[in-house]
Amino acid sequence: MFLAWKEIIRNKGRFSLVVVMMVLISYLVYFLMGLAYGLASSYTNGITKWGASGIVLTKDANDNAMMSLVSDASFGEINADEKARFGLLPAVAKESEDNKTDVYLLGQESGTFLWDSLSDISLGTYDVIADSSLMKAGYEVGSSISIVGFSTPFVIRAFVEKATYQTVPLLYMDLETWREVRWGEASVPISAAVALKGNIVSVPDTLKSYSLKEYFNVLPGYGAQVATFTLMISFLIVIASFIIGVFIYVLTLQKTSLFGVMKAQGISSGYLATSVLSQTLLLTVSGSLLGFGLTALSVAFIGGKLPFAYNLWFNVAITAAFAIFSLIGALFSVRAVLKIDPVKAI
Amino acid sequence: MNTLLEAKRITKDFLQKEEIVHALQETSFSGFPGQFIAIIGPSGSGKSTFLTIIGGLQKPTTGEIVLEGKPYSRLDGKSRSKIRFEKIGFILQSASLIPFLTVREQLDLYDRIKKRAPDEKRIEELSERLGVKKLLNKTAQPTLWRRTPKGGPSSKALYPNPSVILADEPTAALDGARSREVMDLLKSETAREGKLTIMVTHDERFLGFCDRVCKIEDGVLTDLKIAP
Repeated sequence: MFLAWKEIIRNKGRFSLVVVMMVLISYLVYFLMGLAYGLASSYTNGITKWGASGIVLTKDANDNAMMSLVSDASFGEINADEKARFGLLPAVAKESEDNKTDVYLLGQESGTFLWDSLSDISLGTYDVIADSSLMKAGYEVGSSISIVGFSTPFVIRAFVEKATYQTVPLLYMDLETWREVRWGEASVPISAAVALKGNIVSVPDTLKSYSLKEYFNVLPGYGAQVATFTLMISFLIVIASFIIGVFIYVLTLQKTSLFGVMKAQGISSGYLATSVLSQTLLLTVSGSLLGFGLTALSVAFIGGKLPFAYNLWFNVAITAAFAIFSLIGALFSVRAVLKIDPVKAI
Repeated sequence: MNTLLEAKRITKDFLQKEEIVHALQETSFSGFPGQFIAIIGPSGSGKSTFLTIIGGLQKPTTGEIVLEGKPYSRLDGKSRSKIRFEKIGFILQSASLIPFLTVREQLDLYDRIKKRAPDEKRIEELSERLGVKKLLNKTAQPTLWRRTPKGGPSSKALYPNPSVILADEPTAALDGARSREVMDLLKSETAREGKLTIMVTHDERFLGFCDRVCKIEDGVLTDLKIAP
């Protein structure tokens, strides 16, 4: 570490180039990661709030919750620790001709775990809890909100953060009310789907049970989008590490005669190799931490306009991946160091 | 006097384009503490081969090198490297200093690798004697050492207090006055600390400084002069 650090501070120009490159690439990677995670969670976070372990749809729904019709009779046959019916319906909230917003109406069975993470205020028949993004559309607590195709306006009783489904804001309402919107009357004994919590023992043959992850992966666009971002981010990490590896390799080759002299003086190959590795690690980690700082700064300025979300563990994993892959790249330099023959130094 | 370094009937052969080259014919050689030995000879005569073998950088084809009574030329690379680190100080023709470290840090590096505290007393004393006291905190850029060549590389080689100093063309690229300074220093340090200094050189101006002069020609070592 001593040699590695001294060389960096005595050759600031050369090494700052390496760090700047690392900063830029890691900035891009952290930023993409935040966007990817933010976008992915805006598909799902209205539902992940539940803390459910699984979702049940009808088999005939072809993985589509909008097409799933679970009767109360089938619901009764589901055997799980906790179960709760819900309904999902895309709708348009219309304030005026110029102010229309896409929303999802999410009807949740009252008295179930579905409500646990939401406000505990009791809702009247036509009351809803809305995603906080609707505040930007001009709604506030107490506003009425009209749904196209349904004559009675709803009243927003509260807002919650991050209540979106497939990037669209949710309106939470009682399942009975949802049935009235969906079927015309509240007494129709059909809901769209069932959320399960805890152990899932059995579901009837007409129904299909999904883990939460399976369910999200069949959401239109979700899987493809996650795969695309994952691929981009992984490639960027590998490319950045490769470039750092090449830089270090070139710097190592330039020092061949110096390393030869040092070996002649009895400094072990192991010490020199460790020095090359720790230098790589120092450059990569400092570069990526600066890149992360830049990301945090950018988000502070433009946050809110983009679906950006942090996930501590993803960021830790990216930083670790940068470190590990660049160390793998540095192994070429280590090999070069080990092959240097001190006899040639004389 | 006890022999410090002994070469026992060493030879070195190389394979070059499917032909065996006898770089060093069978040679025996002994060096004693306090002795300053010059090895001269034309280019390609085997001088450097001899120096690298007694310095443990390569193994002899046959024979054995014994340092302080212990054979070491047959040890593995790692063990020889350790012996070089502790027992042998190299002063090399190519820059033997690390260009991005200060003179003081070159010495610190030794202590860091040995995991011991710096020997402040020796640093003080050596830097005073070698005239590098003011340069301790300067980085070892080549331009600096062209101006004050004697102190830097020598202080680095001498600091660990090795028993043998091996110098390869220490006066190459230096003018007369500075070459003389380097020679003076090698001679006085050899005597003061009882080291064995073996110097390979082309420069025959300073052979009078040496206790013993050997010549290698076509891989054969002969004594030209041995001081009484």
